[in-house]
Amino acid sequence: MKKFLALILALMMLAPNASAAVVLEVGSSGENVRKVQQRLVQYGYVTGTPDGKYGERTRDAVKEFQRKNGLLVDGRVGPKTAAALGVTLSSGGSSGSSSTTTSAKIVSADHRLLSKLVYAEARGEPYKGQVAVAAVVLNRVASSSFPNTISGVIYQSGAFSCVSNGQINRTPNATAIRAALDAMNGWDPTGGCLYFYNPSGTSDKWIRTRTVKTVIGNHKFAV
Amino acid sequence: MQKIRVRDRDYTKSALFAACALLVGLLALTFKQSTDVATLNTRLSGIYQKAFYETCELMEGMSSNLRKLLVTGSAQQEQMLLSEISRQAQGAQDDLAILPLGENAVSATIKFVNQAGDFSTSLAGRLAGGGAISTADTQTITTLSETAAELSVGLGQLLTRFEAGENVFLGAYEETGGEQLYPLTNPATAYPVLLYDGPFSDSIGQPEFRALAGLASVSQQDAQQLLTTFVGVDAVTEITFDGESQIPVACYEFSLVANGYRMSAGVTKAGGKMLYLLPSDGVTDIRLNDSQAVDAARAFLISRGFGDMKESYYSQYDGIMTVNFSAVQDTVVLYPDLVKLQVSLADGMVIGMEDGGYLRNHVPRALSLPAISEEEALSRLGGRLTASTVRLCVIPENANEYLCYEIAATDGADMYLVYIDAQTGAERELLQVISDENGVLVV
Repeated sequence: MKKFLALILALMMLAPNASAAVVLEVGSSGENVRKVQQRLVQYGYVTGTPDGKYGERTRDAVKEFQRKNGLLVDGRVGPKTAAALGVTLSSGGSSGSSSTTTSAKIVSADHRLLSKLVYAEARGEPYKGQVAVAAVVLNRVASSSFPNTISGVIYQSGAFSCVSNGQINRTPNATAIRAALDAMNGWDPTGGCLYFYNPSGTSDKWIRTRTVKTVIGNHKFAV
Repeated sequence: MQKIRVRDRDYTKSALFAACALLVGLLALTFKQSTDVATLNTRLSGIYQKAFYETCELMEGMSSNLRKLLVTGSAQQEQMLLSEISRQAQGAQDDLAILPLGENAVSATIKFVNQAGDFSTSLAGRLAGGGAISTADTQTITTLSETAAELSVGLGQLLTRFEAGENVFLGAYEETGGEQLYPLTNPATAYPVLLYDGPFSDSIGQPEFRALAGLASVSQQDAQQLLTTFVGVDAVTEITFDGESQIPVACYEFSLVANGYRMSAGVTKAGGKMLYLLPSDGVTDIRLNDSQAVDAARAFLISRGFGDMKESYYSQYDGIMTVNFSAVQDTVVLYPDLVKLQVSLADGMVIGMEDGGYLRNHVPRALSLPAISEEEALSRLGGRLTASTVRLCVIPENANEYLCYEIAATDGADMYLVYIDAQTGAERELLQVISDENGVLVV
C-alpha cells in the first residue's frame, strides 16, 4: 500500500493552495524578485545587480527596509511590503501562461522539513547529492528499522548532526527545496540507501562497516 | 608628594572597586547560567524519563494485549485489541526515537515495534474480511508477546540505572557500536522472520528488476554511447564518467550537458537501460503550456521505444514539468510500470527521468478476466459517491499485484479514486485526490 501511494499519489503531497496573494521569500525567483531587488538597490538597502533570486542578502535587505518603515519584520515580501516598496507583484498566473515568475514553493510541511534537512546536510554538494540525502530520509521512512514519518526520521535522536547543532533551523534555498521535491517524486540516486556519511568528517567507526553502494560528491551512501 | 600619594590611593581604590564589581557581576552571571543549564537539564531529563516510562508501559500493554488476542472468543474484542496494539506500537516507536541511545542501538527495537503494529493492522484487515487466526498467526502472536515483555523488562532496567545517575546514553553503548552490545534494548529472543501481508513484512526484500532479467552486460563505453543516443546525439555537448554504483542494481554513473542542461544519469550494466536522469538546475524561461509539455514527453517515450504509455499525473515546479506515465497492456493500465519524465517548460526537452518502477515490473502480465462486471463494481461504491469514469488497472499492494476497477468518483467538490478488486469485489484502496493549479490528475 505504501508503495502504491508512492507510485501514483504524488498528488497527495500537493496541499491545496490556500492564498492567492503572491508572497516572495527566500527561495523565490523571477521577475517579481527582480523588481523588489531593483527598488532595494535604488533605495540603498543593498548593493549589487538584481539577479531575480531571493537569497539571504535580499532577505536581510528586506528586513532592514521593513524595520525602517514600521512594517512587520519577517523578511518576506507580501502585499504590504510590496506596496511600501512601490512594486506591484504580478501573480504567478495559472500553469502554462507565459509568465516568467517561478517560485520555489513549498508544497507541504513534510516538504518544508525535508528541504531544511537537505540544506543543512548537503548544501554545497552537487544537485544529485542533495536529492540523494533527501532520498535517504524517505528510504528510512519506508524501512521497518526507522520511524514511519519524515519528522520522526529527521528528529530521531542522534540521527542527523544538523539537528543537534541547530543547522537545521536555517532557511533552505531554492535548490534544496527542489531537491527535496524531486526525491518525494521518486528520484533516488542512492537506490534505497539508509545511511550517508562524509568519510573525512566522521569518527563513527560503526557507520564505516555498512556496505557503500554509491559515492556522490563528498558523501558515501550505504545500506 | 602627599598629593600624588593620595591620587595613587584613589586610583588603586577605584580599580579594586571596579574589579570587585566585575567579579560580583561575573559570579552572578555564572550562577544564573548554571541555574539555567540545570533547569534545561531537568526538563530534558524529564522528557527522556517520560519516553522511558512510556515505552515500558506501552511494551507491557502490547505484550498483554497480544496474549489476550489468543484467548478472546469475540470478533469485536479482536478488532479492539488489534487497533490498541497498533496504537501502542506507534507510541513505543515515537518514544524510542526520542531516547538518545543512538540510532543503531534502537533500530532493532524500532523494527520490532513497527512489525508488531504492521502485523496487527494486517491481521485486523484479514479478520474483518472474514478470515480467522491461523496456527501460524498464533505462533507469531506468542513470540511477539514474549519479545514485548522482555523488552519492557530490559528498558525498565536501563531506566533504573538512568535514574540512579548513570549516564546510560553516552556510555559504552554509543562507542562500541556492535548491536549485540545493547542487550537491554534489543529483542533477545530470536523472533522468527515475520511473514504477513504488510509493508514491513520480512517477505518484502529489495525488489528485483524483472525487466532487466537475462539482459547481457554492457561495457562502460557502450553505456556512454547508449546514454548519448538516448538523450540525443546532437544534443550532448559534454559527458563524463563518474564511477560505478549499486543503486541497487549495478550501474555506470555519468554527468552530462545536453541542449545546455546539466544532468546526472545512471545506466544499468545489464542491458544498458537508463535508470534515472536528473537535471541539476531549475528552468526560468517558461514558454510551453501543460499540454505541449505532456505531448513532448509522450512523443519522447514513443521515440525511445517505450510504446504508447498513459499519463496519470503531472505537476510543474521551477519551470520543470514532471509527468507520470504508466504502461498499458490490452487497455489495462499497469500502475507498477511507472516512468516519470521531466520536461523543460522552456523548450520541451526531456531533462529528467525515473523509471525504477518500469524496470522492476515491466514484463508481460497474464491478466485474467475480471470475475465481476463493471456494473457490479460500481454497485460497491459508497453511497455518497457519484462515479464519473471507470477503467481496469493493475495496482501493487505490498509484494502482490491486483487487477482492479479504478473508479473516479466525486462527493460534492471532493474527488476520490476507488479501487475495486475485479476478482473479489473487495475495495482494495481508496484515495482522495488533492490537487491544485500546479498538479493535475489525468483519469
